[in-house]
Amino acid sequence: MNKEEDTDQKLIRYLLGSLSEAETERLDELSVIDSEFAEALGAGEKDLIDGYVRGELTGTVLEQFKSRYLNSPPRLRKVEFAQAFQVFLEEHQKEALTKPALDPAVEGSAFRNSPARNVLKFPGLMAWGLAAAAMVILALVLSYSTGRQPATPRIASFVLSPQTREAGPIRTISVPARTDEVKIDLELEPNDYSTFRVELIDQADNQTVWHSEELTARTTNNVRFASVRFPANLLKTGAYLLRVTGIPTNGPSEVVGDYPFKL
Amino acid sequence: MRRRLAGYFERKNCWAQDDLADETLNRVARRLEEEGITETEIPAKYCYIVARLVFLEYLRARAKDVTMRDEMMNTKSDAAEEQASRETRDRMLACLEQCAAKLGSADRELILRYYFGTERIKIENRRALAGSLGITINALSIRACRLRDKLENCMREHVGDLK
Repeated sequence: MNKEEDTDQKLIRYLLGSLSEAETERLDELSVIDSEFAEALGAGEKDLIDGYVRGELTGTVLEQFKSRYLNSPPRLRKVEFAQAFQVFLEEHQKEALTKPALDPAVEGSAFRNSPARNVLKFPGLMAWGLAAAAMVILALVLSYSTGRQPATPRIASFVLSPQTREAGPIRTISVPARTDEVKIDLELEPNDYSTFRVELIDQADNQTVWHSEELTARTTNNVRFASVRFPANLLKTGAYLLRVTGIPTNGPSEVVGDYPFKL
Repeated sequence: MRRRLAGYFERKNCWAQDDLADETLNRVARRLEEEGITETEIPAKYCYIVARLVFLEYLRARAKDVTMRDEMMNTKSDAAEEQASRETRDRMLACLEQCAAKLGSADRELILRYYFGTERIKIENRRALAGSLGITINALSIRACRLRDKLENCMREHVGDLK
């Protein structure tokens, strides 16, 4: 386990009241003097409560949550709210996700990955990325319980050839309802790049709605593919483009292929 | 600062966490006044020291107060029963609907999207949502959590009105 995971496990144990007295006091102080740590703690706590409400906690974490966290009226009220909130979400999420994606706050920045802010002000502690810490808490809580296997996401898979190769109408794909992720294998034209980045562009407004991390191609039967996976809820009815950019070791990157498709 | 103090007292299983947070801030303000110090920002570390003292006094008071201990034991089972009350939950849901309707459409959509999915999908979805909004994941988390708190506070006010 790396140092960051160890620190985040500590945070979960703090929320569940199972740290040593010295460590508890250290984080107590941080929660009061450091507003960003306090925000991360609040976000992590909400995710922990939601995990309980959704039945995702098991093993030691569940036992500790029930015995230590649920022993105060204010916390019971939080769980009550989370239960009502969960019902509300389930009723309204489908409706929200059929709408077009939210507009980017700043034009052209939709695919800029801002680094997590260093919120460390308290000597001796690791840097806390605010929401990075909360999200790792979420992932950690869900994997922390013993003997639980992560749920398998429902994936819809497709293969696309580049625009230059495919003549005729744009490929139409159909994503079944309740699909969690879309996986697309992009057949690459011959090029000298080994590292790529892929953007998903909504052609209605030419905005990038998703982009990949840097990825490497794989070869199958002498054909190179770049494979991407993204949440299915990003796709609404309409026309999209997957743009593949080759990333050299030095120098500017270059677009090596466009893969239009319709949903 | 008041919210952070209330959070601290809540994690310590104190009941009246808001009152204790106010008590802490009152003591800090009084002390600063006595010292003749004019501060535009309350010294956070000093607030924590006073909060810890207030907490220890609370513990001592709780140990002595049999009535409070009994109430705590009863309240735990009472709260467990209330939690099971379908009627309460239906009322909460109705109030939550009203409160959500008061949010702007962008805020409402943000919170629906932020809490979409489970496990790893939820994490990936949040990254994608932050990207599509052109904001950091930090900023997205703050925004979503504050919206959720707003909904919760609004719902409690409504539920209180209905009782």
